Amino acid sequence: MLQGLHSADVTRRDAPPRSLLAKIWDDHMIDDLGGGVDLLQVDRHVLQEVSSAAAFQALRQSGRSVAAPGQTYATQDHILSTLPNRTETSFAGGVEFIRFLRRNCNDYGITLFDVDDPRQGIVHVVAAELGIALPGCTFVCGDSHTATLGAFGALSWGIGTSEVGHVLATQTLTQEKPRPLRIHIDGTLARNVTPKDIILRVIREHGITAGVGHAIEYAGSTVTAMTMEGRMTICNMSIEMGARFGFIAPDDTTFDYLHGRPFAPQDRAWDAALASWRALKSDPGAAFVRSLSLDVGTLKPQVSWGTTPADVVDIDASVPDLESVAGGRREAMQKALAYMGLAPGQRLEGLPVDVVFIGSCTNARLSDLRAAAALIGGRKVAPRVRALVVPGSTSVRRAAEREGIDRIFTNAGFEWRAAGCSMCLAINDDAVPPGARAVSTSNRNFEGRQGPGARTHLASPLTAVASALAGSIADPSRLA
Amino acid sequence: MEPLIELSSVVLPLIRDNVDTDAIIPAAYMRSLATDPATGLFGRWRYRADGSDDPDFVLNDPRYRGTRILLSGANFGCGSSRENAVWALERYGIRCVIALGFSDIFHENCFKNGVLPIVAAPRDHERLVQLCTQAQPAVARIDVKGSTIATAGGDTLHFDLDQRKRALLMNGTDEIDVTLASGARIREFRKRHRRDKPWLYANGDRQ
Repeated sequence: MLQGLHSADVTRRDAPPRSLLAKIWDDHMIDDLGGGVDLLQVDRHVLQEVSSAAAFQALRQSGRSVAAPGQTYATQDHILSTLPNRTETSFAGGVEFIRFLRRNCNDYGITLFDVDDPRQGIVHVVAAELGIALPGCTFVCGDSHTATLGAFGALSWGIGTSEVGHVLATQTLTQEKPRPLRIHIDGTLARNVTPKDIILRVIREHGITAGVGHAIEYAGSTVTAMTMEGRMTICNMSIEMGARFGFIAPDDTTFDYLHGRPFAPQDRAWDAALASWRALKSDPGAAFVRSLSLDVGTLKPQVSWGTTPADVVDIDASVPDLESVAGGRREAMQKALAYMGLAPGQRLEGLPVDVVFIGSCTNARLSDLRAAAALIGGRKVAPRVRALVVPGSTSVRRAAEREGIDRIFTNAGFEWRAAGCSMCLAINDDAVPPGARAVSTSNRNFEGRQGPGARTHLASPLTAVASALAGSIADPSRLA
Repeated sequence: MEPLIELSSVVLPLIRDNVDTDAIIPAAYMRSLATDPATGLFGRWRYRADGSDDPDFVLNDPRYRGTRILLSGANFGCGSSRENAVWALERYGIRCVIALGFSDIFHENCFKNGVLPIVAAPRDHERLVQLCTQAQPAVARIDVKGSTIATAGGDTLHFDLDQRKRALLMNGTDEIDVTLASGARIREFRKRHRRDKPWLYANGDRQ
């Protein structure tokens, strides 16, 4: 039998065209459980300390074991401190989870990227840089931003803690089949406009429920030309549109990125994998329930004004007028504006900011930090602004230090922190103070997300840097 | 998991769209496994800055004490996958959420914890909001087997619930036991899959 060739990979001449979603799904389907739910094989399961804890408690109580520790990985990222010389006790509130994950990985033979491991970092960042997420694989994690790894042409999605327990015990998952939705992104980005601006624009246009029940395939010339890191930023925020799954067909950019990564296949295994991966694309004529498109040729930097990730405008625009909003939405908008301390029609550019956060699984990879640092040009963070850079992984942090990027940031007055989820969700002590205004490269601007009373404006790393230097929301292209 | 067959209680109206899981339980209430998640339910809305109950928040209204049914708007449970959101509702006593829609992950998490998420048709939702936001709290009775909501106003509203999910709720099934019973089938699948795509199985040997 030919290695790497399986019936699900081969498009037979008489077979109907299939989407990439259908191909990967069919290749992992163990059983049809009825009601649109299938039992799927899970190829990769990555754990984090917070959402895995109760799953391990239940596993221990039931006396069950971990079905496939060799396909399971773990990292400490959510609740540990990001202080530069942190230890596991630097944030006392996280110790219980950190030690419990360590004990679980030790007892069940799971590879752990522990607090002081050079491979430690945000789960979605390390799973990419270590070559854990592979094209055509099923990949799950107890974290809603797991679609980040869909950038590799993987079927990758976020699950709850009970599901983490199900995967630990069986290496399978019962999952409702999502409907395929395709978003074409075409055009060349202007200077200082980034993949983050693209995905914010997409969510702004289609809303935060457009993806519910769907799996989004991103395609088009802009996506094809994009680096893996940019693709990850796009896929990362699929959940902000409601989609559990978001992915991009793998191509040479994907394969070049993966080649030689520590957990990617090597040598002959690589050749066999590559032959199989090249078939991972939607067939011409494959059916999608919806097809959307966006031309990004004239796209400007995007910034959020409200408390959902669809409350977004061009950076040089104003908060919408209440009159432009339909009745039912108006009350929610008033509530959001009151929370944000804004008035309808108010301009965002020039609005004073207190905190700037460059970090999270959306925008804390090396390319994000490089681009952000390059914009500084010897300027300083404005007085009274607290600006933090929290690298997505320890390896990103070290690579940035080798390039001198850390000094560019610290010389400008930014804090240079250790890797973790940090101020994105404020489950450790990295929080935006009550009532303070933050420009954040993270993914959620919900009420209280970055701390009680925190006022979050989502933006790209470039807009974040420009705002830190200006002391107010600023367009990176108009930096004085 | 405690089986859910029928349920009768006053309906707690939290009529707003996009109630995210950070609102249902803020991260600060997730810092210990020993914390009762119910204390964090709607933590940012329910308590004042000094930690006392905010009497203006509906959960603290004594008329709704003992509620087991929550009525909300569109896209309930969006955002973070934290199952703590369902744990907080369930431990508080809420076993049914009626909304115009749910996020996929929250919806799934509900069934794992014996909580019934009902997607109400817009007309039914409108009727429920009208009934449940009067000065006098409204009682509803949920029949899981018959997929109906009986209101105090005399309406019987139907909702969709697929057979498999209904059975999970009514039997309090542990899905892991069900899957483990298919062990032979899973092993057979993995054997074939491993032969076809060995690189997906090799990592355990190269640490």
